[in-house]
Amino acid sequence: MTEPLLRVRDLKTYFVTEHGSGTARAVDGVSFEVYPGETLGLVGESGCGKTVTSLSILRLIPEPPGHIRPGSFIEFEGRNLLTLAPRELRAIRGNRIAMIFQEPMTSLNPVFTVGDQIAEAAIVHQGLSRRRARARAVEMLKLVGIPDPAERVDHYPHQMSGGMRQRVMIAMALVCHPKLLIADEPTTALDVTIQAQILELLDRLQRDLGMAVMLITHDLGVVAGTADRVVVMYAGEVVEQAATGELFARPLHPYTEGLMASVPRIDTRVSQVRGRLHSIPGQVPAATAWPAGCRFHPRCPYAWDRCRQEAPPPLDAGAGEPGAHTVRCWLLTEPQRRSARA
Amino acid sequence: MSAWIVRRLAAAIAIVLAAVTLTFFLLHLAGGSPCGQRDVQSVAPEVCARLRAQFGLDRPIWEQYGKYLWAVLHGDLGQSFWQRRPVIAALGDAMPNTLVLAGTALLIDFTLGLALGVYQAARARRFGDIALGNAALFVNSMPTFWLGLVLLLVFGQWLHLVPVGGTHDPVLCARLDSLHCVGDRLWHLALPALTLGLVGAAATARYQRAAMLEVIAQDFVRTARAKGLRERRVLLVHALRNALLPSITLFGLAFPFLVTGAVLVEWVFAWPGMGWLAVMAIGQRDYPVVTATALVASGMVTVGNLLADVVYAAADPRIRVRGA
Repeated sequence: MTEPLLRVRDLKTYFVTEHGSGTARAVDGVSFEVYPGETLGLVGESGCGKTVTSLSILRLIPEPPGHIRPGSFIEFEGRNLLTLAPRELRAIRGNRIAMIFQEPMTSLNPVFTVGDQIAEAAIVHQGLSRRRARARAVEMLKLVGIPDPAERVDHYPHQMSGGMRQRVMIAMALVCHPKLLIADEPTTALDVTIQAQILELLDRLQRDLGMAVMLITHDLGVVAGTADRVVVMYAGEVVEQAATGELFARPLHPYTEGLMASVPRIDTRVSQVRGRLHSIPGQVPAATAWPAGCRFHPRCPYAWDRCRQEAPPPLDAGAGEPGAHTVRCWLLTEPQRRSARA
Repeated sequence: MSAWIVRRLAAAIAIVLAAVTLTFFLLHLAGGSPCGQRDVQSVAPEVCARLRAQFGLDRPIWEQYGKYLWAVLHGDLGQSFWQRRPVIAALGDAMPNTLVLAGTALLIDFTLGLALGVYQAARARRFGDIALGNAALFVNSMPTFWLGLVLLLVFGQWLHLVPVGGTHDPVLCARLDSLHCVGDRLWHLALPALTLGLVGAAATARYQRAAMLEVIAQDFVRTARAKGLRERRVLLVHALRNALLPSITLFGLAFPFLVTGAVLVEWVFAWPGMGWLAVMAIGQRDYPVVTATALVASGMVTVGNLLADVVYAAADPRIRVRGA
């Protein structure tokens, strides 16, 4: 296999809570890789640490209250991003690794034209003149499918719809042709029809520009349609990771199973639905007090004594190469317990 | 846009009219007369009665008010009882002094206030921010006249660094005709402008810090950082441009503060501006001058607010487009 573009090892991002009474371990020992040109889906419920993970990569976590623990390691193109000097880090942000955010409404600066905001990264990183950067902004607007780009370049964000603004965000992120695009819930705030358009656009641009995409979402449907590999997060940890096909065919972690059962499927016959959609019982625990043992055990239908006492390490599910499909679940050591319940 | 301007102008005129009316009637309620205080009659009663008749002060107050408004509408602010010359001439002498003082104070207020506010926000909750925050609260809590007196005592009386009052040296620099005399004016201006400006800057810094902190927490600031911009550019271009909007409103609100603050500061520093003139005229029951200073002060305040609104509209594209 090729060398990974991004390698995250044992990432721990903690937050000191308001009253200083506790530490929220939002991301607690996360490891995964992103390979050149691929799409990695990062999935989980709200509060599982996916956004904090993505912000940690570019060191965009506000400090204080947050901090990335020593011992964490984020390697990009052979360099540890966590030890880079501010100057070197800036040369990567927006240039080698770009990011788009969930809220296109608030992620653009209201007092600058979209053209200025797109051109800015090209001026800073590539040393383009104002005129050439502006021409570049028009090109980028055209690339992301905005009609009348030569006119739109002078518009302000408030003159555009949500979908248009997300296209502007994408144009802004891609202006320096980054190797990795981190997209944090890029379609969550948009209408369903616009969602599909934006995902198609990302897909097309990824192929044209040959970049890797890290797609953060809570929507398994989005992942199924676009990702090559999937990382499932729960309570600040990676609970399962596998190639998309493998994960959907053989979800092994009870949390992944629950997530999939709670997505309505258009090809399920009415007779199979049995009344209502599945939901995972209980709530995501608070990040200041993760449960002991396996963090999913209070909500797990299979949990037994071992799960309450001992946290499972990532175990290899033995599909293809080692590490291709890993699961943080004791069920892998005692598979008969699953069939006993089912 | 034009309808908006007409509405604003109408409101401005109404405010000035209300201020003039209030001043006019309050002044007559205050008792005493241009002839002197109630119990210390310095002028013979017959003379006083003749003077009252001459200036129309024996007429019913409504008639006086009507006549006054009619005259003002025709550009006549009347005669000063005390200075024995047209009110307009008295204002003409005082106005430039106040404009110089208030203008300099405004400059100190906003340059210092904005700079400190931005610095504090960038260092939020660290030592520099906390120290400056407490200092600003302290300065902001002091009455301007008291601060003025203390500065005067320390820098004027004890250290002999600056003159203790007036706008210029009346002997050597009666006229502004040499570089030395420009320096002399600035020297006289330093303390009163600092007194007024520092108190304003303390308030401006507190507002600006809050505005910056609010903006820094916004998503688009994170976007700017994710782009790889220098922290300085993130703060001074992306954040500040947004955080300046509330300060423009503050700029409009600073006008009344400067006008009222100037009254006390001008008095303390014997600075013959509008505030000083007003205080003198009140003591002398010089009705036309007092009413005229109220007219000018309220005019300045409304013009300041109007100016702030226009600048705000120019600075915020969301308003610019809606208005166009």
